[in-house]
Amino acid sequence: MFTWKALEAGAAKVIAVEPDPANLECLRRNFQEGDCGRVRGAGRRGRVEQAGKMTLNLGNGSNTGVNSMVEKESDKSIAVPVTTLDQLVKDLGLAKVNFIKMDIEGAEREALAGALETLKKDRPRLMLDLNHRTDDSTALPAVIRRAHADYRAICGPCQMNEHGVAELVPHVIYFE
Amino acid sequence: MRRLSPLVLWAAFGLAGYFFVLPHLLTNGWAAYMKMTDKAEQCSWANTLTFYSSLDKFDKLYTKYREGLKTAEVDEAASLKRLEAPGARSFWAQQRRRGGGLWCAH
Repeated sequence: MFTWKALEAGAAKVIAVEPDPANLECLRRNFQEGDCGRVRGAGRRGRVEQAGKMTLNLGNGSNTGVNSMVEKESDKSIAVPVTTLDQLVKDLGLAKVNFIKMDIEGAEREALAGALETLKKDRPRLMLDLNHRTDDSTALPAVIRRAHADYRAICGPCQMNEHGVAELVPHVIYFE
Repeated sequence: MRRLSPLVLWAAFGLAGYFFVLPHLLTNGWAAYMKMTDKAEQCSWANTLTFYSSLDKFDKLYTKYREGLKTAEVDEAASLKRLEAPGARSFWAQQRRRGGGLWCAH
C-alpha cells in the first residue's frame, strides 16, 4: 500500500524490503506489471544494525504485518538474511535517499542505527511507527538525532500506548 | 408552517449533543487531560484536541475498505488470494490469514 502511495506521489524509485517469503511473493505479484520498473524489491532481507542472519518471529496468523524480530506472538519463526540500510544503499548504488518509511514491529531503532551514514549524508524525511516498544517515543528520536541533532519531529495521529502504559503517543511520527 | 414545540427542539438538541458533541468533548477532553499531566508529551496540542476526529476518520476508512473487499482470484498452491477493493487496484495477500489481507503490502 505504501509502495503504491509513493509511486502515485511521483517517487522515482521505491525500494521495498520484505523479510517474510510469503509477503515477498505478494509484493512481487503486486508490482510485476505497469510500475515502469520503479519498484525494486530488496528480497528476503530485514533491516538491522548489523548484516548477518536473524530470527523473524511470525505472527499468530491474524495479521501478516506483525512478524517481528523483537516481539514474539507465536512459536513459529524463520531465519532470514539481514543487512543494514547503509549497506543496502551501497549495494543498490542509490545516489540519494529522500524518504524512509518504517513500521517494522519494534526493530526500528536497530534499523535506524544501521542507517546512520545515510541519515547523515542525505537527511531523508522519515515516517516511523512509534508504538512498538514502550520507550520508542524517546529511543527513536535519540537514534535519529545522532545523525542530525536538529532533525525536527512532527507528530502524526495519536493513540493510546499499546503496552499498558497510560499515555497518549503518536502512532506515526515524521522527521524532517 | 407549523412551529416545533420547545420540547421537540430541546429533544433534538439533546440528541445531537449526545451523539455528536459529547463523544468529541469526552474523548478530546480526556486527551487534553493526558497532555496537561505530561502523559502525551510527544503528541502535539493540535492532534490532542482533534483526537476523537482522528480515531473516527481511521475507523471509517478501515470500515470502508474492509466492507468493500472481495476475493477475485485464489492461488491455492501458493496459499495466496487476489483481492479487489473499491477505488483501488487489486492486490495479492496471504490466504491463511484472516483480516482480509489488508496488511499484505504493509
